Parts: sequence; C-alpha cells; structure tokens
Amino acid sequence: MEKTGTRKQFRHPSARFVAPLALLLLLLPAGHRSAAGEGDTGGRGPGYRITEVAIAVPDVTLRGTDGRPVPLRVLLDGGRPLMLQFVFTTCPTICPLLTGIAARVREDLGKDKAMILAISITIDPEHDTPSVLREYAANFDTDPDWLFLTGRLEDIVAVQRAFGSYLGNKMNHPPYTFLRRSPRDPWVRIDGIVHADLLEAEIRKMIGTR
Amino acid sequence: MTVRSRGPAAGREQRSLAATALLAALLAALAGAFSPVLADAPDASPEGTPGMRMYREGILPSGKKMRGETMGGAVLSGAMAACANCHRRSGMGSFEGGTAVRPITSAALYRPSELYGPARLDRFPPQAGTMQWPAYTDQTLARAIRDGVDPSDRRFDSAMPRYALADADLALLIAYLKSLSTTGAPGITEEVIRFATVVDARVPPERRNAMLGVLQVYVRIRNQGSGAARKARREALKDRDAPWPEARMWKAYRTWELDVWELSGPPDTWEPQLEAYYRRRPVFALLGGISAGGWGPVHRFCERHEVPSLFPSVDAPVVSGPGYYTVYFSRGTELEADALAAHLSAEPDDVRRRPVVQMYRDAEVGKAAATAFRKALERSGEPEPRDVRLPATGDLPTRILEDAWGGERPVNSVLWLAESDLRRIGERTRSTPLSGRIYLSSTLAGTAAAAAFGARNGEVYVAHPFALPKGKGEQDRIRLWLDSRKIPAGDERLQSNAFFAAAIAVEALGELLDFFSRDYFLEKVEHMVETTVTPSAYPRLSLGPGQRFASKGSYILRYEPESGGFLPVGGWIVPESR
Repeated sequence: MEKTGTRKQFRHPSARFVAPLALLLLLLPAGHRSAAGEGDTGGRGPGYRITEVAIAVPDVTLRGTDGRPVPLRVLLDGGRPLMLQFVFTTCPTICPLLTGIAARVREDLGKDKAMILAISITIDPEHDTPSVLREYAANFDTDPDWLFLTGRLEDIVAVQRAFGSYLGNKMNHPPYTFLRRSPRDPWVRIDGIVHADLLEAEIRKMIGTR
Repeated sequence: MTVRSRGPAAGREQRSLAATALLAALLAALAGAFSPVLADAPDASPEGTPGMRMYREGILPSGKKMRGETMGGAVLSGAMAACANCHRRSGMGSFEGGTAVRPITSAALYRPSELYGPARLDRFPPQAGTMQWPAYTDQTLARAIRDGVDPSDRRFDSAMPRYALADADLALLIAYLKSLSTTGAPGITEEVIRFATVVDARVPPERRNAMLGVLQVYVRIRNQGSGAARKARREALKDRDAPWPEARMWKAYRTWELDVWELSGPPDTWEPQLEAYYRRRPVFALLGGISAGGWGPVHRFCERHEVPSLFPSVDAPVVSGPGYYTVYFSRGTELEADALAAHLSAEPDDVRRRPVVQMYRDAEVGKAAATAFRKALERSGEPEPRDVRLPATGDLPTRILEDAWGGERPVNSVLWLAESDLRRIGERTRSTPLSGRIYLSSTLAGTAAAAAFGARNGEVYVAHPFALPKGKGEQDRIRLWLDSRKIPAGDERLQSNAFFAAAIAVEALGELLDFFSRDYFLEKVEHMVETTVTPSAYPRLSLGPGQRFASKGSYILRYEPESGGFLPVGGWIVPESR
C-alpha cells in the first residue's frame, strides 16, 4: 500500500527559472509512460500507470449543482463502484480532456454506466459555484449517475489533500482518475490522460462486466 | 505499495536527461514563437473574423460548434474544442498538469523546431525528438489539425484533438493562425515600456494621491537599483548572441514609464479623452487607476484596443458584456449585494421576513449597488426591497429616516452610502431610533462608520468583501514597505491595491522575457495571482483563464458596540453571481 507520496515530487517552487524545470518534472511520469512503449496499449496512446492508494476521505459536506448539501463520505460509501476526478471549469488543458474522456467512457459503457457513480469535484470552488458547474456539466452528456460537486474552499482543499492531488495551485494539478469498486476495496489511481478505451477496460474489470 | 506499471521503468539518469531536453525544447519553442516587429497592432473588429471565432470560441463560420476528438478518445465541442482553450489567445501555448501545449504562432510553426543549436542535439535522448520537426507548410499544418500528425509523421500526444474541418473552414483557421502575435505590442520600444494609470478627476486629491504615490514610487524604484544594473547588463549584451535564457532575460529589460491619464468631466466624455491620450503615446498596459463612479468607458477602451488593465480601484466595475482585458479585484458593490442577499436568506424567519429598505445616492455606484441587490433578492426569492433614492450630491433630506423607518414593524435597512452620509444619519438616529438591522457597505463607507450609530449589539452589520479588519497593533506588510520608502499614509486599501497592481505587472513581465505580447501578459497574470506572495487587501485572490474578478466572496461583519470590534457572521460567503 502506498500513501499517496507524490506530493514532494510536485512541489511548487516560486523561482522563475526553477518553475519551468519543476513543471517539467511533472513530465517524468509521461517520460516513464513513453518508455513503456505503445505495444502495451494496443496503439492507443502512451502507457499509463495504476497505483493503489490509501485515502482517508475527510468528513466534509460539499454541494451539488442544485446547491444541495452532499455529505461526501455518505456519498462515496453508498456502495456503488466509483470514478472520481478533480477538475475546474476554466482549466485550459487537462480538465476538458479528463472530463471528455469520462464522458466518452460512460457513453461506451452503454447500459452498464448506471453501475458506476461518476464524480467530478471542482478544485476552484469560489469560481465554480453550483450554477457555473451546472453550465459546465451541460457540455457533456450527464445524468444522475454523474455528479459535479463544489463546496467551501477549505473543504475542497482537504479533499484534494486526502487524494494526494493538492499542489497548492489549481493551474498545476495532476491528471488523475480515481476508481474504487466498493467501500471495502482500495482506491486505485490512474495517472495521466489515459485513452478512453483503456479506462473503460479498467472500469469493466472493476465492475466485472468484461 | 502496489504498482502495476505498463512497461519498464525509466532510469533516473535517463529521466533527468529527458527533463533537461524537454525544458530546452520548450524554451526553444517559446523562443521561436515570437517575432518582435515593433509596430502598432491593428485593432480587432469587435465581432472578429470567422477564423478568430473558430480559434477563440470554437464556432464554425456556419454558426455550428467546432468538434474535435482527442487521441485519448475525448470528444470536445464549442468553446472546449476552441484552439484558444489550450494554446491560449496569444497562441503561445500553456503548461498545465504535466501537459505542455506548444506555441502555434506562425513564427513557431513555419520554421523548423530546433533545440537551441544543432551542436546540442546529440546530447538529448530520443524522447526529445518529439519536440522537434521540420517547418510546417499549409499542407502539413492542415494534416496536423485534421489527423493529428506532425510534419515528420509522428502522432501528437493524447491531448491534441483532431478536427474534421471542411477545406474552406480550415483555410480560414490557418489564415488566422498566421496572424497570431505577429506584431509587437504598442507601448514597447527598444528602451522603454510604457504604462498609464487612469484617474477620474472627480476623485478627491487625498485618494488620488494615495493611489498615484505608490505607483510612482514603485516605478522609480524599479528603474533604479537592480533595474539600473539590469540595464547595464543589457547594454553589454546588446550585440552579442549569448545563449538562452540569460541573453533573452537581459535583453528584455526596459525602463518603465508611467503616464497619468486624468479624465475630466462626465464619464460620457471619457472615451474621446482616452483615445487622445492613447494616440499621443500608446501604452502596453494600464496599471491601477481610480474612479469616483463607474468604469465603463475605460473598460470599453481597453476592449477596443486590447490593452490589458490590471486591478483598478473601482467600486462598480463592468460585470456584464465583453470583458477580457480588464482584471478587477472583485465585483465591488455588486458582490456585496449578492453576499447580503445570501446572508439574509440564511437568517431566521423573524429577521428575513422583515421589509427591506435600501437607501442610495442617485449616482453610478449607488444605483449599480441598489440594482444588483434588488436582483439578488429576487433571485433568492426574498421580498422586494423598498428604494429610498437620495439626490446624487448635497444634503440629505430631513425626513429621510422617518420615511425609511416610520412604520410600526422593524425593517432591515441597507445603506449604500459613504461614511460622511452615514455619520449624519447616525446623528439623527439619536432622535429617531431605528428599529431592525442596518447593513452598511464596506466598499463605500469602510467599517469605521458602523460606530456612528448609537446601536445595541446585533443591529449594525457591514458587508465586507476584504480581509478581516486588523486588530490593534497588527500592521500591514504594505505599510512597512510604504514607511520605509517615506510614502505618506493614505487610504490603506487604495495603497495596497496600487502596490498589488504594480507588483503583479513586474512578475508577469518577468515571465514574458522579451515576448511582449499583451495577450501573453494577461495569460501570465491569470496564472500567477493565485500563487503570488504579494500581499493585498483581500483574504485570497485567484484567477484562471478568462476569470476577471480575483476575489469572489465577502464577509458579513456584525458590529460589537461595546468592544468597537467586528464579528464575521456565517464565514466567508461566496454568492452565486448570476
């Protein structure tokens, strides 16, 4: 078991010329994936990395796109398999891709998509109020099995920390997708912008429909 | 620990070499992305060209949404599929979450992508090769956009979408790409970078000087000391082609000049005045600025000429309609109005069901605040407020209090008034005691005016979209900076606002090196506001692509007459803004 120990690697420096170098260190997993070769992924982009992670979900109450309170632990422990991502609506690059891939995976899962609960949590909650998130979600084919959550900044930061996704700056957040079969199973973290087909395969493995 | 990895792990040495190569390649890509031709950029027409709409908004000439499918299988459309989403308005690209987005200006595309100097090539591992390619042609660029393949037949990584565009649409888009960041920005010469700050002549001298004093000292210090050293270094390197990045850093040095654009007369005469200033001496950007009322004409001027404007001190900024080039601290009194409405809806029924009376001066800021509050109450389903509109200037009517509070039931009064008005009303409340709560605007009146009301606990509240008031003995970091530079104390918020605007401009310019693109400048500002160490009057500031209001919340403070202090009620409130 690994406690999400990647934070050190992603520390955010302030020095001007150190910053790009450190940002490039973020590419290391990418370099690693490149080294994995394309054969492993059936030609669908670079390889990717899956890690089991221990996550202690904080007892916070977030809000849905209707503004209603959503106690996070209750939601996550509802029993269904989960797919969870962190995004924000004005994100220039990776969030639309992560969200787009999540949308594609759900589409490809067909009727099986109702077996999993998809959750996208904003990491920019003061901008992404419930109505802003609602508009963002409308860009994708969403339904009650895909929740977009916001909340108080402190709570959102606590959740990101628990998932090892907090780097102190929303513009520099790692592209992770988290999966969990049930409350009794460990969380699994997928690093990088993995191809929708591969993510779908991982999910099918998890829910046992392959 | 369980790690299932899809391939052999890369060695540490190989990794660090790869990182170095990627860094070099990225810097080289940026270096090639900008061709500084010092000429006035043509002003864009307001609706833009069809190519620009495709690039910025993801809208096809037919009006349909552009669609792209990424290598990762994500299907994006409309604004999310727009090129500018990742490559940004400047075309200079971005870097986020480990994904490097390449510059796509014509200078970057239509010449070979090289690391800096062929001699270095053999030092980098093959991974770096994906950062290199021969120069694009229109044909290979079309193929790249449609099929996701670069000129050397390599596929792009998982982030770049492929767009199935018709020939005509593709030609329009490529023509637009060729126009990105091709001309140097106005306000830049080989020696000087020029800024201006806009001052509304109606602003009282002490407030105007508080803002101006800080900016002018900041610029003077910038040009002396380390600035002088940089300038000397730059002169020494002028004719030498020293290796990147040092040379570019030194060569980027410019002496700062700050013009003061004073606007006189009513705001509807401001735009021609701004145009005249700009024609006489164009500027790269506006810093700070101060208004006694609205900011519409300045905002529109900046949109028209694509002039970035950083953090003016305005109480009623432009919150709707086009707004890309002005970056505000917050929505000002409109934010207070929304926060107040949210606060009232969360109060117990005996408080929230009371009638609401709002008083305001019949001038820009007062009207904007009252309109916003009325809308916010309506949105949250609260009772409609009764308006007490006071003349724009001059004495308050004598019967104002009786008119507002004369009824038998307690009311919630929201006073969109300045401190001097509040003090006069406060005196009169001694003969006409209020019944209910009074809400004040910290933006318009500060917090001290709360003491003007001979109130009991729980009766006077202040909407306060700033950091909590300082306790006794607490000193502002800004204050220390000002004192050490012998800048007289003035309005603290104005001084710290001006300081913040200048400091962020310095930081953002430092990132630009000598790629003096205004759009790129704004993109850097968007990125750094969240992480800057520069203090401000706000508890937290943060922007993102396209975000133009850095602080999004407000406290509602309850005045405690016995201690003279304030207590935040319900924490930091971030209201919905629409």
